Amino acid sequence: MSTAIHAHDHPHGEAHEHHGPPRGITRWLYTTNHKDIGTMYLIFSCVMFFVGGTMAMLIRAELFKPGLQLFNPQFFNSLTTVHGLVMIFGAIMPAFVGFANWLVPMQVGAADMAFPRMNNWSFWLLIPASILLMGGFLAPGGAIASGWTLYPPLSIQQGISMDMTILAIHMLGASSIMGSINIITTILNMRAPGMTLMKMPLFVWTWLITAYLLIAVMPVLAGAITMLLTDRHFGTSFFSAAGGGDPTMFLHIFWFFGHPEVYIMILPAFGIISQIIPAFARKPLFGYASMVYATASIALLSFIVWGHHMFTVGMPAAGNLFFMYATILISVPTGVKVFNWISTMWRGSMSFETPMLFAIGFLCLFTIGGFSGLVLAIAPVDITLHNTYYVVAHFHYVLVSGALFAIMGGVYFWWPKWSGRMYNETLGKWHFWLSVIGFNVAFFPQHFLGLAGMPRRIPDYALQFAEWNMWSSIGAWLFGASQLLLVYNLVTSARSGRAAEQKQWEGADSLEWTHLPSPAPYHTFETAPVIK
Amino acid sequence: MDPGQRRRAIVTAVALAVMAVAVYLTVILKMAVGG
Repeated sequence: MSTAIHAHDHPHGEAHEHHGPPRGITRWLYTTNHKDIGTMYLIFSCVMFFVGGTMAMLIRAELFKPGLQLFNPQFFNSLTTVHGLVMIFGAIMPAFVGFANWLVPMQVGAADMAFPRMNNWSFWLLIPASILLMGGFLAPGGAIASGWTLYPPLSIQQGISMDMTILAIHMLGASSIMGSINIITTILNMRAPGMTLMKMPLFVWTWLITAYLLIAVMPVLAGAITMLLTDRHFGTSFFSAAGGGDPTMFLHIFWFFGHPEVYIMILPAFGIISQIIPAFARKPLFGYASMVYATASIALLSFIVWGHHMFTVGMPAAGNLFFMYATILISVPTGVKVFNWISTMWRGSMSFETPMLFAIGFLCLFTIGGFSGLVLAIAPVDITLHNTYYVVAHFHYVLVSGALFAIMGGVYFWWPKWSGRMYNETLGKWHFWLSVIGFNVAFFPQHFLGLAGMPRRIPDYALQFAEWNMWSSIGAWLFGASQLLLVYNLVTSARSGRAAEQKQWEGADSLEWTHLPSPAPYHTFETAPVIK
Repeated sequence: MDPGQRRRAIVTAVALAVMAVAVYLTVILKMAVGG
């Protein structure tokens, strides 16, 4: 950090950073530059997205028709488990951290993150963690098959791959906590003069709140899996009923982490959408302050709703009612955000480039996921729908058409600033429409399957579920294949796309668009801008 | 980053790290001493 600011003080002849990045592999291994680290996070996330996506394609291949087609049930369970863990911890979370690394310093007018070396460490922890996570497939007994929630007693009984996963999640958690500390410290201490908290772009606000959530709940997950480890190897009985422990207690602790984790994956998406919609509606965001308060309210409420994941474990009726009402309450601040986005578009001078299409796709489809969440929040209904494909449909509407669509919209939105080149707009629109069609064909029928009683996490099913499963598989493959368009578009753009303008999007008004050229230089805001 | 800013940044980071460790230990110790 100080190296960057005082670069002029170094004697000439030293390979100091001021003139641009060093060359070769060491640039990436040792980099402390927030843009390089952001790029590495995004590339890592993209790779893991395709790894997890390949598992999804295999899952849908097995479920294409009834009967066991390709895999034994144990391997199928491993696929669903590792798919979930890879997508959550390897794809979606690192993607948002990549966005944060690229954008938070630029949007608050800082030269870099507060602790650049810790930032480098946060990223490089992901590599051994992901190798451990995926390496379970090569371990004796195969990869873990307990579901991503790692419920005991299955998780106590499984082989060495469970220990590998526990270590991997500890490392991923440490990485997340260090990243969060960096983000909070940067936002609170390094804003440019005049950049008050209530002048910050919404993306920065959502990440500030998300980072607090991460620091509050990742240690809870770490505690739970540390206790799993000691139950497995050191003779404790926290969750082992045979030794007097309580497996249900694990569920309480896990979901005390797990529900805020859902918001960790969606609040930064809200931030991205809050940047994209005003830019393409050419209007300021409607209700900025209420957006900030709604985000904070969602984060606070996320701590008191974990019980809605476990309505069927036999909690007292008063407990079920509390969690039901608390969960339904979340729809109020979420509704504030949705109506604010719609109000921003109202009478705006709108245009529909690819980022805006993804933002509108997000708005429509995430709202469907929100509504199916309300259905599941009703305790008596959930007792019927628990562990069915309705739940699978619900969380994919939230995490794919919610978090992932926002990520893709954000990539198209900021790509010109990152690379200095424009992507192919026609190809981007093809990518959007094929994704929307493929996604809905894949996941909408799963509502019907769940309502008809098809359980999740099974490799075989009754004949009456055959037709919608076939459609679901066809849609999933279409969705998966269409993602190759994104990669092709970005690679060809990086090589030969036309040059992007400083303010590529007319309505974009945050500092990276108004103060910095495209591509953003290696070092930015070494002298902080003054915000009026 | 000027020295004052650096000092504030370190204090913020240490406070957040202490919070994370405290949550971790609270979860385990609460379970260890009786659920």
